[in-house]
Amino acid sequence: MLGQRAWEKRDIAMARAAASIFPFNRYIRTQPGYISVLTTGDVEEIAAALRGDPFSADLTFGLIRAYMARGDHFVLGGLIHNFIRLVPNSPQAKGLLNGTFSSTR
Amino acid sequence: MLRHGEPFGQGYMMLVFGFLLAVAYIPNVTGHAILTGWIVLTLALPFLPKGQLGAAHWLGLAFLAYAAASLAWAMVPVQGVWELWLLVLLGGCFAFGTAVRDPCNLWLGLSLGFGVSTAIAGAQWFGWQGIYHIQLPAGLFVNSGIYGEVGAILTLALISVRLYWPIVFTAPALALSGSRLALAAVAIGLLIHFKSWKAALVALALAGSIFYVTSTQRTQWASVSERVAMWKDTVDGLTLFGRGAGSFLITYPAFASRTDTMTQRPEDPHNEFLRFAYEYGLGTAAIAAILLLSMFAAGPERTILIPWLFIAFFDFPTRIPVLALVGMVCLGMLCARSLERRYAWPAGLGEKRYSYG
Repeated sequence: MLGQRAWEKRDIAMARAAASIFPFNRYIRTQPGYISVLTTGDVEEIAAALRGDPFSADLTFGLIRAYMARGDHFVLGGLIHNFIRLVPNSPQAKGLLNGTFSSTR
Repeated sequence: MLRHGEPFGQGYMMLVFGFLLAVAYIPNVTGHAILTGWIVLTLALPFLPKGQLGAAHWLGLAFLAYAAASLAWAMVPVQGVWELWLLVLLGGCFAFGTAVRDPCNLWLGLSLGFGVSTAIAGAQWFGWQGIYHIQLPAGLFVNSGIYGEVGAILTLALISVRLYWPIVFTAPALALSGSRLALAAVAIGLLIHFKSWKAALVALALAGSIFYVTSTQRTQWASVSERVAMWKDTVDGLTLFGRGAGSFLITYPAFASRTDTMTQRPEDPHNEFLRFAYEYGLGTAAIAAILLLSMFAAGPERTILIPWLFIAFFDFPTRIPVLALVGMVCLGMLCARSLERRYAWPAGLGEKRYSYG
């Protein structure tokens, strides 16, 4: 219920508390990362969530966007490669491949 | 109408337990995942009777040990802890099943609790939106398909013990949910139970209903093709020793070449046999042995267990607390019976001996 309230309020601190109490559920464990994708775009938070769900396409995409927004292109290549490998037919992957994607969309 | 086939008090305990389990989860009130049902099972199982330790129990324990060991090679072991907890609960339900002689009160309690969902689903049918559900009426089960499947299995459970009046609480789910799988499961169960041309006619009528429902639904066969795509992706990820407890949820996207995991993230391949093979590989042989053992026993629980296995081929009954309990109790009852020499009748014989009506 703490996780649910954290999600409704987009409260990262509350989501972190829920994740530390009950890390066994993927939703609860990765919630701080998802809230971060929607709000602050904190790279560390999203990367931590991704470690708990390494093949998550939407978290990987969130991390790509966060890095793009920060203008940090050092790790983007590897991330984009992973993302395209995970969801090759998604519109986001096609956008990344043909260069029509930007972090502001 | 209560039956007293069990020791004093045990029947009432099963009735209350069944009722509580069926009403435990209230969407968006007791959380946004089916956690409360598992909590009820966790709290209740230590107080429920257990059968004598037999070969089936040892097989189950061997499987649990393998599942625990598989955390060593699981990609995200913390997810596996959750899966292990669910497996222990399934094992507890199975052990409870080996001790149950007359499940009437349990089926009755579950059906009465399910009646609450049917009342809510009826209101949802008329447009009430007080409790969250996806599209079609689903009572407390959120998903109409799950609601229909639980209704189908509980209807068969009641038929198996010849307790007909509570069917008014369970059977409406077949119509309200529009679930083809539920209708097919009931058709199979009726054929197994009655073994007559009348049952065949009812089964035929249900099959006709399935095609009617399919032809009128907007999704039509889309869910079938999605399932087949998931199964193929899952087969691509199979290994000899499995990928470890809880690994389907984590590693499936790596093999999902036919499913876009950006738009949907399956938690389950919608086929329990494939999921167990994916996560536990050869370790699944212990479960297969238990299933094989149960098939040697005769008894009315076959009316429930075989349709339950049919549902397991297309969905995830071990992930729904009510379905998990019913399936594991039936499995436990049949295994206990097949292991007791005095009950060792060939399958198909001695049916009447074990009908509780």
